[in-house]
Amino acid sequence: MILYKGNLDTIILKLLSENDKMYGYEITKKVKELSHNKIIIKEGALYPALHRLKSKGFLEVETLKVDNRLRKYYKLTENGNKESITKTAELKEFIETMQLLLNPKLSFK
Amino acid sequence: MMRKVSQQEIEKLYQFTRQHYVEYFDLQTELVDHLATGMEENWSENPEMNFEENLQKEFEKFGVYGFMHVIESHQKAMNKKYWKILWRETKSELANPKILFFSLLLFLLPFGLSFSKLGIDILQITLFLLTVFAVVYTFRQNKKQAHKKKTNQKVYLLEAMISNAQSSTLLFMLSYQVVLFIGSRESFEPNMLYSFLIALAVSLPFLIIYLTIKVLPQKKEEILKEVHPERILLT
Repeated sequence: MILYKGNLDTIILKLLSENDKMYGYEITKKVKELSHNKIIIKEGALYPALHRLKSKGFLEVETLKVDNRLRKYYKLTENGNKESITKTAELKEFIETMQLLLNPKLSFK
Repeated sequence: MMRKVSQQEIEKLYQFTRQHYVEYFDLQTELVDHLATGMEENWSENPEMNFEENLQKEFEKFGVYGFMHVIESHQKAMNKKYWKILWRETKSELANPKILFFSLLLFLLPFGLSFSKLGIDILQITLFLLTVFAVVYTFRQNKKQAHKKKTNQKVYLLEAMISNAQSSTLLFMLSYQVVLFIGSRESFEPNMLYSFLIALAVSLPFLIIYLTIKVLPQKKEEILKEVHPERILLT
C-alpha cells in the first residue's frame, strides 16, 4: 500500500498521542501490526519524517541507555498534541469524503 | 537465550554507518540502535544467521538510497536548530556593553582613518594581515576536523558549522579587499559612503572573527550539552 508523505506524519503523530514515547523501530513495527502488514513504513522515509516533525517543534527527543547502546525516544510536545488532533481530524474527513465519492448512495427519483 | 548485539558489534555498526557517509555522531547513534534492534529480532527467529548477513538484511530495509534521505533530513533539522542557537548567542554577546563599546570603536576608528590616503593604506595593510591570519587559522582548523573524522572520533555537526562560519568570514573579507582597492587609486575622492563601507569592511570581520574563533568555540560544550543531553550517558 502506498503511503503519502502527509499521511505518514499523521500516523506518527497519532501513534505518539496514544503512546507516551516511542523509538523509530517501534513505530514501524507498530504500524505494521496495526495495519495487518498492509502498511509498511520504509526506514528511509520514517526517519526523515521524524526529523522533520522534530524540527517543526512537534516532537522532542529523550535519549536513554538501553542494554549496551543509546536509544532515542520521540515524544509529542504540546504543539505536537494539538497538531495530532488537527491532522487526525483532517484525515478522517478526507476518508469520509472519499467514501462518498466511491460509494455514492444513488437515489432514483 | 536470545542472541543480543554485543558491545564489540555495536562498534562495528558505528563503523558501518560511517562507511555509509553518516558523519555525525547523534545520527549514527540513532541508526545503530535501529539496526541493532532489527538484527536482534531477526536472531530471535533465526539464531543461526551470521552478523554480516543479518546486517545486510536490515540495511536493505532502508531502500536503494540507503541512509541518504535520513542524512539529508537530519542535516536540515540540525542546521535550523543550530543557527537559532548561534544567533541567540551572538545577540547575547552583543548585548554586553564592553563588546558593544569595542565594536563601536572598531567602526569609528577606520571611519576616521578612511578620509586620508595614509589612513587607507594603514587600513588596507590591517585588513590584509587579518585575512592572512584567517586563512592560516581556517586551514589549521580544517586539518584538525579532517583528522578527527579519520580517526573515528565523535564529530558533531556544530563543530563543522563553526568552522564553516570561519571559512565564510574569510571569503567575506577577501571580497572586501576589492572595495578597499578602489580607494587606493590616484583619482579617488573620499566621501561618506565610501568611508562607511570601509569602516564596515574592517570592523565586521574583526567582530565575526572574535565571535567564531573565540566566543563560539568556548561555548561549544555548553551548546552541545543543550542540543545533545545524551552526552552525559556516554561518559
